[in-house]
Amino acid sequence: MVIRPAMEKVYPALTSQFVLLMLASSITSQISVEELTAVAARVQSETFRPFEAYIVVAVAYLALSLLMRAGLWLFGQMVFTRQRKLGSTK
Amino acid sequence: MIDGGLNAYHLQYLLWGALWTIGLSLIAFIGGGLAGGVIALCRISPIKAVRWATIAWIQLIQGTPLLVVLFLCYFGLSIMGLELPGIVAASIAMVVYVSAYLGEIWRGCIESVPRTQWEAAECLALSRTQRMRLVVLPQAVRIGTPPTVGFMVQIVKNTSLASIIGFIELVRAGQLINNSIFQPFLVYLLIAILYFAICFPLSLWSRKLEQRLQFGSRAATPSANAT
Repeated sequence: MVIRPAMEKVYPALTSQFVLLMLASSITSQISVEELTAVAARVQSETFRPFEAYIVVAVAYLALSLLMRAGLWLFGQMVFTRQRKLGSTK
Repeated sequence: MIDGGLNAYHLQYLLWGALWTIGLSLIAFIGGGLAGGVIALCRISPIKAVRWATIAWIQLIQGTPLLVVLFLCYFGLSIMGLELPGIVAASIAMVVYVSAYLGEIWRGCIESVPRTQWEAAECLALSRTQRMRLVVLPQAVRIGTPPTVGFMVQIVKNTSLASIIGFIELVRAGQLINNSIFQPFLVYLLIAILYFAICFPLSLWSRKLEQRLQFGSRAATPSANAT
């Protein structure tokens, strides 16, 4: 009974935390995990165009975080309907 | 602890790196604080264009990892013909990063000053500047201090990323030592301890401030409920 309203309360904050977590995953490139930033590092070491490589990656991360935020918001709208039913969304 | 080559010079070098970590954190905090103040005020500006531009800026910085911002500053500025040392590029990136986050934190603090205070100030015929300066900001500072100190912990930890563009702070110093004595676990353990020694007092301070200022429980009373 408590978990659901509690989840509903923390969900927006949790959403931001998930997005931050996704962004923080870029650090794993430093211990040679093959993710977006690591690929950028490889591209720039092959082409010697670091700025272009990282700008593309920055845009990719930006798109990813916006998409993720939109997706999580939609998910929240679908799952947490209680407050809207009570008419107290403000 | 002195079994394979770790000696007093290494420790001294690590402490030297820790000093640079603190230095970079201070630069980031002071620069980012100044820029963040401007951003917080722009974010609630009555002019729509300013407000939207600030929102776009904040989304841009908060939507990209600090690592990428750091690379962009480092490589982007050198493309423009400025050959920058690591410290300058790292400082710029940290200031940009901190300004977006602190700006948003402080915007929240300003907006959580109870609505009635804003209205009372307006009823006293104070101009917008006077209202901000005399009524809202003094209260917002009280609300904002604990989260700001809390965010300082994040700043200190995030300066570790500056190691990858060759700026010699705590992590980079550790990497260099590790290259000569090949004991990564020991070296990184020491680094972790040093970071903890810097950050733990800050978190304690933040918690203490939070208890002292007691905003959390005051705001919960219905009379002071902000929208």
